[in-house]
Amino acid sequence: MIHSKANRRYQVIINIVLLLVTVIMIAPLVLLFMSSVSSEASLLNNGYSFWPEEFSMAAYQYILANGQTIFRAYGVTVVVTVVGTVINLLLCSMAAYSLSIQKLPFRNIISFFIFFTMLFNGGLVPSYLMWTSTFHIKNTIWALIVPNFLCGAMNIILIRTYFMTSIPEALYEAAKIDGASYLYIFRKIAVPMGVPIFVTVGLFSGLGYWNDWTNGLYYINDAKLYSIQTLLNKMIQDIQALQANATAASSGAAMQIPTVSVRMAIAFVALAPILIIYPFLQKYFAEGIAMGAVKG
Amino acid sequence: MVTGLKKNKKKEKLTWVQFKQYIPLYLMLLPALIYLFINNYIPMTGIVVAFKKYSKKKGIYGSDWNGLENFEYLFKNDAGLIIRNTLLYNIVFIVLGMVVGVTLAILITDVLSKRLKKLYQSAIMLPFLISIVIVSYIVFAFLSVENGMINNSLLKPLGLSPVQWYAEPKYWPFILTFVNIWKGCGYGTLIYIAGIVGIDPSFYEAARLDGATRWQQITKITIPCLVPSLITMTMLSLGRIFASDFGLFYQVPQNSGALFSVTQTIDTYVYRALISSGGIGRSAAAGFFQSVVGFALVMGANALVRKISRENAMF
Amino acid sequence: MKMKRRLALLLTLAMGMSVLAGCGGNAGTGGDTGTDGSGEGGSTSGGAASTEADGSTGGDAASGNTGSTGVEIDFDEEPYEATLMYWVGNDARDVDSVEEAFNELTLSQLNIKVNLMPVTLGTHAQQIQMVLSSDDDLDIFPFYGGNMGSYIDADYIVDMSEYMDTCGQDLIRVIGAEDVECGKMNGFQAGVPNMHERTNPTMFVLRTDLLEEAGFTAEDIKTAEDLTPVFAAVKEKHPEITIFGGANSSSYAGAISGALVDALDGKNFGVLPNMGQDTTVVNWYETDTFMDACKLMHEWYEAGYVSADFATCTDPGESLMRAGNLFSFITYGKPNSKAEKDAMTGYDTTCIKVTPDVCYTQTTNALLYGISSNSEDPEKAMILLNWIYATKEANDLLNWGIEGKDYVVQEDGTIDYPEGVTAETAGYHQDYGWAQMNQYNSYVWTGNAPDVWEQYQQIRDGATVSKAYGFFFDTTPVLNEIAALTSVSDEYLFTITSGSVDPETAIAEFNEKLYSAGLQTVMDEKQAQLDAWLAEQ
Repeated sequence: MIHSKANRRYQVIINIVLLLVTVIMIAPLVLLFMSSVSSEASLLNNGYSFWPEEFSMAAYQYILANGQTIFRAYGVTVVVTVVGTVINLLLCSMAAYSLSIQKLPFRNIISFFIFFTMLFNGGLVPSYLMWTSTFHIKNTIWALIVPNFLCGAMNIILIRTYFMTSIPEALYEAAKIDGASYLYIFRKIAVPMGVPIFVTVGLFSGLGYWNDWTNGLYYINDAKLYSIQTLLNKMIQDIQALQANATAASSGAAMQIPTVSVRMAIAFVALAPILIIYPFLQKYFAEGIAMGAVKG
Repeated sequence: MVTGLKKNKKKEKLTWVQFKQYIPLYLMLLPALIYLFINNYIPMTGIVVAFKKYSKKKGIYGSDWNGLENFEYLFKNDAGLIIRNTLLYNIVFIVLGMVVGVTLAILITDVLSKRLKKLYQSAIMLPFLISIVIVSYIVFAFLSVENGMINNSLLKPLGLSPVQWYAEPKYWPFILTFVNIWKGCGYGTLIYIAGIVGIDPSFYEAARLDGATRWQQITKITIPCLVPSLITMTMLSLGRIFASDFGLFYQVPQNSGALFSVTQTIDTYVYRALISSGGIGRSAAAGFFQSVVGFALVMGANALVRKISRENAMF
Repeated sequence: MKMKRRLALLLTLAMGMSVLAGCGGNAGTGGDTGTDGSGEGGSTSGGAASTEADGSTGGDAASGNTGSTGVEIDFDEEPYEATLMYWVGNDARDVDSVEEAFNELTLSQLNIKVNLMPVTLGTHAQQIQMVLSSDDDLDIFPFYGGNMGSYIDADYIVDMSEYMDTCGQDLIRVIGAEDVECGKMNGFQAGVPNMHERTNPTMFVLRTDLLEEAGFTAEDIKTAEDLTPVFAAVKEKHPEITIFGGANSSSYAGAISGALVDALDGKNFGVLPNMGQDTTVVNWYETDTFMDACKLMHEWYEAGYVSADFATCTDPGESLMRAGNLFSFITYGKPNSKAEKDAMTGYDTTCIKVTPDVCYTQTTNALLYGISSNSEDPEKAMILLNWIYATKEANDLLNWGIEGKDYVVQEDGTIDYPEGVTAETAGYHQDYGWAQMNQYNSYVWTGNAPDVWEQYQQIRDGATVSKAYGFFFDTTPVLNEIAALTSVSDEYLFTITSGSVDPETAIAEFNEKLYSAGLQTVMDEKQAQLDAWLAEQ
């Protein structure tokens, strides 16, 4: 772009707008973190604020004391996320590429077959019955990877749309005339050009795995296989149940749990690794996008 | 399947030799199709329970049929209001989500500073990472009548009387829309950024040589190039138009009864109706009802898109 | 087309069989037998196969014949493997040792091997539907009495009445014949109540220091109305704190319905007024009692005693008081309430009961232990359940863990942590007696009166008993109405009971909505079922 005055002014304006947006996006997270290090009494008495009256690490102490398995759970989550995301991307991009070929016979029927899965579902019970009694995945690591998240219509469709818009039909024709097979075109043209969308979809898929606690809840009874979200989710549920039903005198201990700040701390504990890893991902993200731009 | 084959034959006279070159493509499709078949289609047959009086002993498929009995409760009470809420919110979310997403994507890709660009990209994704339950606590932190930041730190110093946020329905359409866009816009924005980056730069060069302004470039190049992505995203949301984010409509308004006129959607109604009596037949019925409407809308929209521009149709 | 149809059939078969396999009774091996529909019993565990020979399993018909021998234990056969689900407060580290000790008892006394399956409440709520619909191992499990109707309707549970005479005698003895009836619906014994309080009187918990500072004592307060001057005095001295609060469900106008009227099914759509002494179903929300209570709440709200967030608050009063920001809240009164609330709030509290003790079915059957239809041998499950209610060691193990390791007995007979063990380091410590089968037959934790369970029993024995005690409304014929009513009630109830709106107009509007959602239909059905039940008694 030519560096004119108008351009510079444009840059200033969009940066101001985007900085404002950034503040709106980040402020609630800061509040979240601040609440997690507030003392319970100051939360209940004075409400949430960006600068609490009284700081306290009780929430984090509680989490550490009660989640002996917390580091193990992080490990489980990382493995599940990495394995799941890789398989997900592989399955989705292959399928999406095939469907982006307009001439492919039965293309519409197959697209419909895939899209249809987004519209109808049979509910949890039939899925549970199938996965547990036919595939026996209960209490295995596969229970966290396979059901629901391995490959979704959404991702296939997003990648397909991307291929269709950014890889011109003419490119295929040219390659075909040169004698290249579809497989060759996939490896040499589609994959490198698709990096931006792979990164985007990979991010969504990875976050899907990272944030999922439902598979863990339904299919895992063995604490060794808890993912971090399953563990934290259970912790929240259990605190609530414990306080709502605490009866005997010694349950005074239950009431000493800093409920409100623990909720916030738990959210932050689940989020923190992403905040740490994200800048590194961003690098690939930016590079991927740059690469796509050059190739395009 | 058979009819599809016939159609194709008529059109292209598909020969075996021609067909052979597509075999690798089918093989590449296969793993995803098998997975979807297992993960989605096999359990999908369980939908029949929506028309049955479920009995564990007889199993989902063996239970007795009971017609549309499981659907009755859906239309028992204020069905009009509930459907209206669900539809209106979804339409607003779709349109606004698109506008905000595309705008942010264009602005972010226009930023020259790489570091700032990174910052913006990260920031818009952050709310996407927080679960809706936590979002409801954050919203409460702002709106709580006694301790909320808006009442305490904003209205009080200005000498205004505190607002009973959780008892005043009139504010909630805006609050819920804001929360939804705030939480969800990162998703669309990233898709659109990827789409914009994929646009052939030579288009812009040619436009600049012709003296096109930035605004003209956006309206004549960027947005038309994003149309396929926009259609896809809209189609995906149309399928869910009768569904709603349960957490957004239940937890964020703190399940406040006074707000039901603007917060009750199909999902919250089903939850409230079934929490005491349960029954997988009834919940399946609600899901089926939502799916059928979504399905009809998507088929209609797809037919429309096919008429206008064939290549942008979903199928 | 043909191929398509065959595929569909195949699919249906594959799915259907895995479902059916669960009903055939092969809980553990359902998946395997699913491929071979005819192999009933063939692939069950060795134990079940050998018991089949002497005819003690293999269906409902057989159990009648073997009734007399039902409680005689055959130690020669393979031990039956039972899965026992029970509610706990936390995920204990050392369930294995407890299970081992538990099995030592059950193997030697019952020839049953038990898999303990402790679940926390939060997890249970989300998992139970799937466990019940699947063929997972499950023999005994806890559930809310309110679910009886839907569980019976969906065939999730086994009717215990046919085993009651042969192997449930201890249950009847321990629980009491009258109370056991509360686990019944339409003659179907869905479960047996666990041992917890049988009355839910409304009790105010007040901070003693502020009460005394305001110049009042417990003697001055007999009814909720007596609190108004107390609140005014405390408010004057401490304008900064909330006078009355807690979770939205614990409003005075809300709580008294559990004490003053018999809701017959736990939901207040049609109740028996006057502590269940009248047998004509009326609309609770049209009674003067409800209106007066709402007016009192409204008066308190207008005077600024009640938190403006009360209608949506879900934080329990105990937490709020502990944080130092609350003077009073409502709870269900029990003999040991004061000790309990003192510990929970961290303040010296004054607990005042403002309604009498009355027994309603919905209080007693709040929590039932029943037998899942996944059970391979419901009779054995019944034997086990019966034994646990009667066996102190069993209840001690499930609630307190292992003696010497997780707790020690003190001189006064109560128990405490061994030296050096704390709540954090204990291998197994639930303190969840209210949800366990028979806390009355187990140790009392230190800090409670050693005779606390006798006090519970005294209250039960001295309580007024509703005329409909033992009857529980089956909602299945009016589920659609109940669904609509629940939604209406969610919309209005907490706003009205919080006192934030004028009760006269709001209650009128509420009732109008209730009637248009089908309240009359539900009340008529309730009355009809109740009349039929009364006629039988």
